[in-house]
Amino acid sequence: MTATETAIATVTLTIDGQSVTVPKGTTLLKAAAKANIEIPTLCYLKELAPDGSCRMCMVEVEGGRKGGLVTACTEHAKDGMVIHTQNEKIRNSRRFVLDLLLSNHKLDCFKCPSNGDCKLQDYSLEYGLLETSLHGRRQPANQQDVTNPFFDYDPEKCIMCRRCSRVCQLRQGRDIISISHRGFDTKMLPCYGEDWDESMCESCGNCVSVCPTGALSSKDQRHFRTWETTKVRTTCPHCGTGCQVDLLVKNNTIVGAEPANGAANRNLLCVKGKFASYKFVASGDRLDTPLIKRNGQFEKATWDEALSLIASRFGALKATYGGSSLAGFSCSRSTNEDNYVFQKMMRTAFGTNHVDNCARVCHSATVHGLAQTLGSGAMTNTIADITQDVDTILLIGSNTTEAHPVIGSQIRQAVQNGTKLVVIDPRKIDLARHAELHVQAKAGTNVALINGLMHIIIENGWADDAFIAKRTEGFEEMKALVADYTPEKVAKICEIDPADLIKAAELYAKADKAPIIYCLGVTEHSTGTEGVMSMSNLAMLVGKLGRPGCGVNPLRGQNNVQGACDMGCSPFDFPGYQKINQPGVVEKFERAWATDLNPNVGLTSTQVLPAAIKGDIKGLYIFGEDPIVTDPDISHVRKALENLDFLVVQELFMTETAEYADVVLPGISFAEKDGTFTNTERRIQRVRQAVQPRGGAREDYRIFCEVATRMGYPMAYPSASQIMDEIASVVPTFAGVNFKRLEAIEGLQWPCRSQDDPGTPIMHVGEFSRGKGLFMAIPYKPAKELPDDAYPYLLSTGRMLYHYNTRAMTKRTAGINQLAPHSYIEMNTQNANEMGIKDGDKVRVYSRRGTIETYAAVGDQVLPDAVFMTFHFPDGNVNEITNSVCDDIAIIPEYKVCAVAIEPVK
Amino acid sequence: MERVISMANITTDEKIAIINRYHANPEQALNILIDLQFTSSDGYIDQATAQLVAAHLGVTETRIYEMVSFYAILKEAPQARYVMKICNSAPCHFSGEQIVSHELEEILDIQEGQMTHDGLFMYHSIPCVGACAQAPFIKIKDRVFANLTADDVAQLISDLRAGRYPEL
Amino acid sequence: MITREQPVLTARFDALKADPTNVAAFCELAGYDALKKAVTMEKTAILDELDTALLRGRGGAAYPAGKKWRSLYQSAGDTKYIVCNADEGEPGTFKDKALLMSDPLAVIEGMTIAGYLFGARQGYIYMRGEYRSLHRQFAQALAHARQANFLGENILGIAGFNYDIRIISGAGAYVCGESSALLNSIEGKTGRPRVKPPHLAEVGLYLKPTLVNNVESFADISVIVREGGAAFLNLGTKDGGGTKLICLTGHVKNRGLYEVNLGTPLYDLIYSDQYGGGSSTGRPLKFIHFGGQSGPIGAVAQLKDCIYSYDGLWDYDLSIGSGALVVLDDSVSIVDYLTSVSQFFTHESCGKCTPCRIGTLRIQELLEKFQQKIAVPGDLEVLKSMMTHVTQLSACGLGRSVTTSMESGLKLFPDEFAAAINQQTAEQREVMW
Ligand SMILES: Cc1cc2nc3c(=O)[nH]c(=O)nc-3n(C[C@H](O)[C@H](O)[C@H](O)COP(=O)(O)O)c2cc1C
Ligand code: SF4
Ligand code: FES
Repeated sequence: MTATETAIATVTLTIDGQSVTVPKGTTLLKAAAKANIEIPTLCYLKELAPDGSCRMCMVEVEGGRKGGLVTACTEHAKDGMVIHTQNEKIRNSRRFVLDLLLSNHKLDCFKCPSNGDCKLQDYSLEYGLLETSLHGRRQPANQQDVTNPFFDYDPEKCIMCRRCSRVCQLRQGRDIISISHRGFDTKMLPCYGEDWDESMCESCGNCVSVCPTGALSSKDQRHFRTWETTKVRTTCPHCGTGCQVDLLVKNNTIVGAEPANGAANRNLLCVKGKFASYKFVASGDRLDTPLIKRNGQFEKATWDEALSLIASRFGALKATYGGSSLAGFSCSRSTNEDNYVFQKMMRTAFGTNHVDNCARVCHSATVHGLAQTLGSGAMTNTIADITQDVDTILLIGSNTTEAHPVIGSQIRQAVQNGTKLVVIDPRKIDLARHAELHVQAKAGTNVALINGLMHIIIENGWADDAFIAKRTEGFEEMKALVADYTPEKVAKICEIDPADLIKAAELYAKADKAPIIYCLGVTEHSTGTEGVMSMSNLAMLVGKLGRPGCGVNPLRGQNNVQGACDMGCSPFDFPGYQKINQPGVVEKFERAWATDLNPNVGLTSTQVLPAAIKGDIKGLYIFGEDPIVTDPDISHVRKALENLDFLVVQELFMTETAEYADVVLPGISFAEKDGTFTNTERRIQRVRQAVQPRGGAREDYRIFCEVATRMGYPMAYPSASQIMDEIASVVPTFAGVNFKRLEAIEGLQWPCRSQDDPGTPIMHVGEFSRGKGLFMAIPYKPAKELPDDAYPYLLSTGRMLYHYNTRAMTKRTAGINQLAPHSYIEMNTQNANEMGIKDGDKVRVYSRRGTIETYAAVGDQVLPDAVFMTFHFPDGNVNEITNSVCDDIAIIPEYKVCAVAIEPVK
Repeated sequence: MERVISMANITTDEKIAIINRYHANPEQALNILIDLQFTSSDGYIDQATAQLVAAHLGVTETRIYEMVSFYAILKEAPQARYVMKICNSAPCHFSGEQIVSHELEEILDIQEGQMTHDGLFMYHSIPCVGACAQAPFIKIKDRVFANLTADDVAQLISDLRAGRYPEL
Repeated sequence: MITREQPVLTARFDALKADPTNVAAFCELAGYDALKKAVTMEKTAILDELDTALLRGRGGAAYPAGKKWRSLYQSAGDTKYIVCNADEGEPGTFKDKALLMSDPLAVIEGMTIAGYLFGARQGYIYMRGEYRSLHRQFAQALAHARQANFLGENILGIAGFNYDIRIISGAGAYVCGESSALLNSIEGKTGRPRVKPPHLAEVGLYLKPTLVNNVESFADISVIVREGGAAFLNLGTKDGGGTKLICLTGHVKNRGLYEVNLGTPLYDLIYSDQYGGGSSTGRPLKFIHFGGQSGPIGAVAQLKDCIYSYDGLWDYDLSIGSGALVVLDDSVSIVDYLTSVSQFFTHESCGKCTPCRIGTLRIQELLEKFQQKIAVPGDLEVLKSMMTHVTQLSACGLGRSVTTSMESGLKLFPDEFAAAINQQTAEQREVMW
């Protein structure tokens, strides 16, 4: 049935005396909800098809067959039906169901962690069952499984509603916990009854979130009762997915997190969001007072002392060497409001455009590449749009299930629903197992590969000529260039089978709806920007832009890296990507901010550090970044920081970078502030204060205002909301954004140009932001450092599920460290055997830049002669050895390719 | 006596051959599992085999385990050399089925579902197998020993011990 | 021409004994005549014949095949599936086994007619796991049919008539006989019933419109097409055409399978030498359990005038079901019998829905109390109330028919229950639901 047909065909029925009209095919449960009549349910989950198993939602259909009782969750409304939801017959049947459940349920509510947060308990009270009247066989006692670090499972409290298993299978796409046996012996269990910690469970906790009783309960639940807590809706502080989450707060401490029905996550969370998004907030080692380094030692200081020192030292440097001797790195984990005020402080009070954020080391290539070809450097479509109802997903260089786990789950759902997945990745990532086709191309060969795909598409006549003619320019040059990229040639470069290349081209080009989803595997190269432009080339070639289920979709890494870029924490752009070197822009901001501004384009963070070594940069203000851990070739970073005259670090914790600071300022976390984050799909969503900051930590933008004011540029905002109002006044694509509108859980997607603009889910509809889409002819260039005899292995870096970046947040949750305690290097079994290395052995890894020690993870995740490490761990910090060569356009480092050697540690 | 917990007598290659006989088609999972179980003299599906099947069919191990634990014919634990099935559904139950179960309990000194120490015998009470008109009976694999008396049961056991039915 | 005096479903059994999969021998005995005729008929004319024949589904639910076929015929979609339910799980039933063993090609022919009518490319037969030896023979029958071009591509030389049948093995789960559970099982899933709506004629196997019929129903289809609907109706009564395969078990002399005309007097089936031959124990026969464990019970003494036909049994609140007749003598207490029935259902509940998963066991436990004569006053009310709820609340036909035999048993032999209650116990039980 098409959408319009459903909309027209309606039925009218009577529910408890009320007349209700609903579309044909509506269930009685939904029809009743429309009449504000609540029907009790235990197994129902609104995201999934009804299960009809608990039989709690019985209602009576007048004149129905065999007693007229039907389950409201499954029965469709029909014209003229007369429904009763609350008569004695129905109440009796619900009592019977409850009595049966209680007769096989541990009745130990007092001790149960879910006491007060249990549907079985609630309904039993409502229906007057204080105990069971049925005394017969029960399931065996004492079967608890407490082996998962985050939650416990007690089958004796399971009511077999199957919500956990359905969520695990159908929404999380993991299929760990499931129904075993049958009849009375039916039991929810991981396979063969193994313990949780032996199963493949990745601890996302979505089963815990949906369990209506205490069968699955979080370990933290022992420390509170739901009725003692308040819920604060906010945005998860981890990756760029932007999941909406409810923090549970008891006595100014966050004790738990529940998924909320956000547009990006629809009631799902990953292990970080569910279990690791709050412990760090109350961690005992939070900075709670300013520190000033005296004689190499940090000493506690008052705010006044610290701020005065900062203002006078930066002021002096500016007076002596000019504003261009100062630089600032902003925090892409903090709010839009903090980022806006930070860059405003740098540009006004400091007089410098050397302001950047960590997008430089992840997605600056995206920002530059797509801005040039399409006119706007952000995800073109929404997460829901590219994972629901699409024919093919072309996934390139994105280990989605680990880096953006909730998007990864949605891709797995898409595959379950029939979408064909094409994975292009040098590693056998988890999604490769779900893929129709995995093209295991060698790292660093994306441009050649995409040129090859385009060659095949053009040769076979699969290109969208009308789209190309009407909406693009530069096609002929591109076509001429790719003519040379035959499948055979490309297959040789990428070390793949040419037939796979052809199949990939066909799967993508011939699909009606097919998004490209990519991530750092495309950007973190010396040819990153060119790789990104190749993405837009490919999508334009087949006309898959500006319409639903298509687009070019970079997955942004940090929770607010999109926002930090949007807010102008970039050496090239004022807020809203208004270019410094574009006529009139500097003047506009001089007017808006009522001060003279530095008219010169600034240095990127990757350029600031070498400049510091040279002595050109003298003072640096680092807000919430830890470049010692995150930037490539760390010894260079150390040298740069040591060489500075004055370094300020504003942080939550004493990081490795903070150790180098002259002054350390205690900022506050996402849970202690109001503001907004912008997720990877350009969705601006609220961040809300859940707890009061402890000690002397201060709200970050207020600190910037103080610093700026002391440096002679007075700044003050009463609240984050007013900052957003100012942003709306200077950024046309934010003109319609304000906190009142952002109260809605779906937030707003920019561009949102006026109060009645609903926001923009899909960009480039009808016309590109830059007018015509620009094809770029891009020749393939090999990575800068390739394996040789001395360094025979090609190293790539990336993320893992459990940790988030430098682990500053995640390592403060004990369970996470239990699951992922140390660094490791993935290597192919063949190489490991050659070197006599076994899984788990300690190995030494060295490159031209340094040496680290780590543990071998042997298997077939990587191909022979390729190796892989995550960048989260200080023991075996891979960035000691990565290559700091950069892409010439976005100046993004080539994290994805360098040459290393490996030896076993005896 | 504990027996080795594994489907030791079929190799991985043989298992894969069975899977491929059904073109590793997930639709044929039941057929595959049954074939595997019947090919193994241990008469059950162990976890390693379930994992192998899952990997080859491209489904999760959980899907396979759910089936193994759901379908009565599939077993999770090793079975005896001779597994005797006795129907306890009403038509048989009231046609003398107890004679058989009683006799087996006496002779073999085991309860239903247990294995004799020598690993030779085991009996299960199961629902109807469609041999109701021949009750009381014992079914071993596809063979029905019909209309049994207590003496017949004793004879059958000693015949089996003596190896008179090698095909079973 | 067929007459009431001749067997139709079992007609070929003896002649094919040497090799029931022999297509040539089958054809000599009018085999495949129906298919050859069907391909010359208007498709709607075939449906009309089915309506006239008034074939009621032989799997147990007695749903008119004509209606089922017509609704599938009308449902949209190019891909439709044909499924033969050969799970035969009702205790006391072995008639599908007989057909599969002795005349498998008759079933294949019926399924092929369905394939032709609905333009299906693939049929499935889901065979009870315990019939393993039959799988091999059936596979051979399929192979022979393929060789003779009665299956495969361009069947009978008709371009585009491509159809084949695959065997899927069951593995010991009674609930898989329920059509939607059966489809899940075919798809390689655990055989638990699906939520309805949608109905299988719209959303069935792999979400496509699907026909599910019993083995015997498919065999009947060939008879109807070959002989015409009217002739088939004439084999039975005005409320249901055809013959019926019945399975006599329990305490009758001649246990076994029989083909009978619908409309035969019940007592003939029990007592005449041609059929049951009366009591095998010398004791009076007490009751008959009709149609498997999910069916109702009748007291022999009250059934003197009963006619074995759909409406004939309905007059006595009885039903044909699968065709099983478990006949028991007066040594069997109704309480013992029903306890045994409840144990079957407890064992076979798929465990998906609450009333069946837990309720069936609770009913069994209460019956066991009666069996041990330790029931207390009020237990009977509790039992009846539980029965009502389990029947009304269960999700599928299994849970909904757990109590069918109990309802009739309680009604027919109330004294046996009353006698099991220890009136001395002061304990009263209050029904809270
Ligand atoms: C629990 C349960 C078990 C069933 N078992 C069988 C069976 O073994 N064989 C069968 O043909 N029908 C069985 N049925 C009936 C089927 O659901 C279905 O009605 C039948 O296969 C349709 O075919 P028919 O219309 O030809 O009878 C069962 C139904 C239920 C609810
Ligand atoms: S009624 Fe019984 S068999 Fe049917 S779905 Fe419910 S639990 Fe399963
Ligand atoms: S009832 Fe026992 S074999 Fe059928």
